[in-house]
Amino acid sequence: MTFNPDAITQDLVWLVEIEVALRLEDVAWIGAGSSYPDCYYVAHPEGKPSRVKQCLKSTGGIVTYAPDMADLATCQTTPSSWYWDGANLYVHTSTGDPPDAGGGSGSGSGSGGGSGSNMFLINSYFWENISDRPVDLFVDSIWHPYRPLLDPSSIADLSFEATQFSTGGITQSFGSVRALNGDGYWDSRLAVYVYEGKRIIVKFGKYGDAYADYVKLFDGYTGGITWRDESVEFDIEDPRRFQE
Amino acid sequence: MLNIKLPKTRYNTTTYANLEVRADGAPIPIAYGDLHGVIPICIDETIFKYKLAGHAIHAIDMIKNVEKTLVLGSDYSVGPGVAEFTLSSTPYLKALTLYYFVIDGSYGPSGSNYVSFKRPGGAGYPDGNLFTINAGGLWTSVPASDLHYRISGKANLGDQEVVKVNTTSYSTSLGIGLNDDPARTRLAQSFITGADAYYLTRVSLWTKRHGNVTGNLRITILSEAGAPVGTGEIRVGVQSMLQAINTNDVWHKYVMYFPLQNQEASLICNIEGANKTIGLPPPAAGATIIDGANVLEDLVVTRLGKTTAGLLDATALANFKTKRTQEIVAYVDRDTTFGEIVGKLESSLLFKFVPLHDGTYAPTVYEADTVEVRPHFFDEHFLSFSMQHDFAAVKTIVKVKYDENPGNNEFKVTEADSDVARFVYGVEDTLEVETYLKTEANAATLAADYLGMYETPPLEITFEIRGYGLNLIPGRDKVKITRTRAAYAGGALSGVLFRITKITKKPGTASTEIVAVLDTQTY
Repeated sequence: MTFNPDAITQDLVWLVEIEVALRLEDVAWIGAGSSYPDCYYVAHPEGKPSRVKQCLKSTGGIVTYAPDMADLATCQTTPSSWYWDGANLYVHTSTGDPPDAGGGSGSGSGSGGGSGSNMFLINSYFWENISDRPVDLFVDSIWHPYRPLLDPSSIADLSFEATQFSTGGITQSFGSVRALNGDGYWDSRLAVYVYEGKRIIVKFGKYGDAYADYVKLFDGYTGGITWRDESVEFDIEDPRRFQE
Repeated sequence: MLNIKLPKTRYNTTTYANLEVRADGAPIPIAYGDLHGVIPICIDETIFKYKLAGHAIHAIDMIKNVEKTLVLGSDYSVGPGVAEFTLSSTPYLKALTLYYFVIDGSYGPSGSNYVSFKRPGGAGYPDGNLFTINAGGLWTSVPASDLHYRISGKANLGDQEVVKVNTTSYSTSLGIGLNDDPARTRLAQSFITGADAYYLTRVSLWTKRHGNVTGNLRITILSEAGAPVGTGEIRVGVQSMLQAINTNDVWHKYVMYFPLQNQEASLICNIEGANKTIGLPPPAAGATIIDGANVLEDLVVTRLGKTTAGLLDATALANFKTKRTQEIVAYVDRDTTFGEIVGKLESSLLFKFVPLHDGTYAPTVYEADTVEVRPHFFDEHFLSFSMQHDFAAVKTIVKVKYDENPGNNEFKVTEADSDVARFVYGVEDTLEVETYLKTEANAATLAADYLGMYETPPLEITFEIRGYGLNLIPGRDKVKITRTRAAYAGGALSGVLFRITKITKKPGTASTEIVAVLDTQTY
C-alpha cells in the first residue's frame, strides 16, 4: 500500500541513511594473481560498496570508479573500476598501480589524516542505516537491516528561506540527528570510518511498507559529530559547502 | 596591556609645520626587519625632508623615484636616527627675486694650492655683485665686480634647458682666489631672476687650478630677506652641489649640474627597521631586529615603555627565541593594538602569548613533551565527557600572506592544498592567514603546518571534573586522558594527550569544565 504522508499514523518509521567512507589507501592490498595483474583486493566486511572513488595525488584528479564489474576479468580490462565478489573488494586503479603504491604513513584512524606519500587516495563508500525501530527493508535486491539506534525526537527543524530584495541569496538552517550509543556501537566506528561531510538521507514511512514507499524528508550532508557515552549527534551541514 | 594602541605617535602640523597634507593625523609607523617599498612622508615640504618611522632605524638601503635610484650624498642626505632623509632637490627660483650662489672648497686655506675663478675686469652683470666671505661668515662686497658665470634652468623639469642668467661680454679678465686667504673662505655672487620662475639646473663657471689643490667644490643657492647675507641664509634646494675640482691649470669652463628632481610623490624606500637595543641575542646590539622574540621584547620595552622583568616569562621567551627563528618584517603604519600585533605574530610563528597566573606572559611554543604530563584523568574523574569532530574547521587550502608591501599593503601569497580534505571530506574551504613572515620558504612551511592541523576535523574533548582545575593554563598545559570508552581508535583512549584550549571554573558546583584538542592537532 502506498504511504500517504498526509495521513500520519502511530506506525511511522523513521530511517536515517549515511553514506560512510572508508579510507583504503593505507591498507594492505593483495594482488589478484597473475591472470589479473592490474587488480588488487582487500577484505571489505562492510559489504558491497555503494561507490569507490580515487584521487590521483600527482594531479589532484578525482575519479569515481566504474561500478561493480560483472567479473574480475572485466575489472582487469577496465581501468578505474571495481568488482565485488561477496567478501572482497577488487579495484583496478586508473594507472594500474597498486592502490597502496607509494607506501603511505597512515595514522590508523579513519578520520585522522594519513595518506603520507601514497600515490592515491582511495575511498569505498557504504550506507550506514539506522531507524527508530528494528526493520529490514529490501533495497537493490538485498535485504538491509536498519539498526534501531535513531532517536527521532532529535531530528530538528530544517528551514529554507529565499531572501528578498537587496540581500539576495538563500538562507538555510540545519539541525542534527541523534543516534543512541548506549551499547558503544559508534565508539570505534567513528574512528575507523569517515562520517563527516557525507550524504545523509532522512526518510519516514509506515511500518510494513516497501522501501520505495518511504518518503524522503531530507537529503543533505553531515557536518561535525559530537560523541557521548549514551548518544552520538550528527550535525547537518549546508549542502552548498560541498563540491560533489 | 593587549589593548594599548600602537603606534603611539602621529604626524601633525604642530610638530611638523610644513607636513604634507595627506599625512596630517596619520600614525608614525613602527618598522621591523628588511622592508621594501616603504612610502616616506614629507614632514617639511620647504626643504623636502622625509620621515620613515617614529624611531631610529638601522639603515636606508635604497630610495628611488619613478626614474632612478637616488644616490646618498648627491641626491639625498640621511637625518637623525636614519629614519629621516632630505632630498637634494632642484632649486626652484621665483620670478624677479634676488638670489645668491655661494662657492666653497673642501681644501684648507693655502696661498699656493687653491682654485681661482675668472671674472671680468669690471662689472659683468648689472643686477648682481660679487662677495667674499671670511672664516667668521662675514660677507664683503667686491665693488663693481662679478664672477664670469652662466645660470641655466627650466620652467618645468621636463622642458628644454635654457640660459637664464649670463655675464655680459667684457674685454679684460681677472681672477679671484677661493680660500687662498682667510678673507676668502667662500665666494658669493648675487643675481636676479627674470619674469618667470624656473628650476635651476646648472651653474657654469670658469676656473683655474693653482698648485696641487685637490678635493671638491660646492655651490649652494641661497635666498635672503635682506643684505648683507649672514645668519639669515636660506638655502634654495636643500643640498649643495658637490663636485670634484677641475684639474686644468688654465681657465676652463667648469659646470655644476643640479639634480633634476623636486618634491617627490612617488618615492619608495627599502629600509632596515628598528635596531636591537635590549634583550635576547642575536642579533648583536645595533643590528636590525628580524626575529619574533626580539620584536616582542622591543615592542614591550621600547614601544610600550615597560620592562620585560615581571612581564615576559624569561624561560618561555628564551625558548621562543630558540625555536622560532623565521625572519620577520612588520611595518605598523595603521592604528592597531599591541594585542593585534601579537596575534599576527602568533599566526606567523605558531606560538601562543599565554597569560600566566602571576601576571606574566609566556610566549609558548608547541613542543612534544619530554616529561610526564600532569594531570592524567581516568574514567572515575569525569563528571561528564564528550568528544567532537570539528568539521567546520576542515580546510582544503591554506593561503599564507607574507612580506606585506608597506607602500600598497599588498601581500605576497603562498598556498598549500590538501587532497585529503578535498577528496575525503568533499569541501573547498580556504583558511587565510596574514603574517609578518618575510620569506616564501617560511610561508610555505607555515601553510603546510596549518594544513596538517586542519585537513581533517580536529578532535576536541569537553569534560567536567571535580575541583577548580588546579593551575592549568589554556594554550600551554596538556592533559592525558584514559577512558574505557571513546570515539577513538579501538573505542578507547589510553593515555592520549590533549592540549587545553578552554577552562571554565564553576564555583557553584565546585567543578571545572575543560575543553582540549588532540595534542597533534594544535600549535
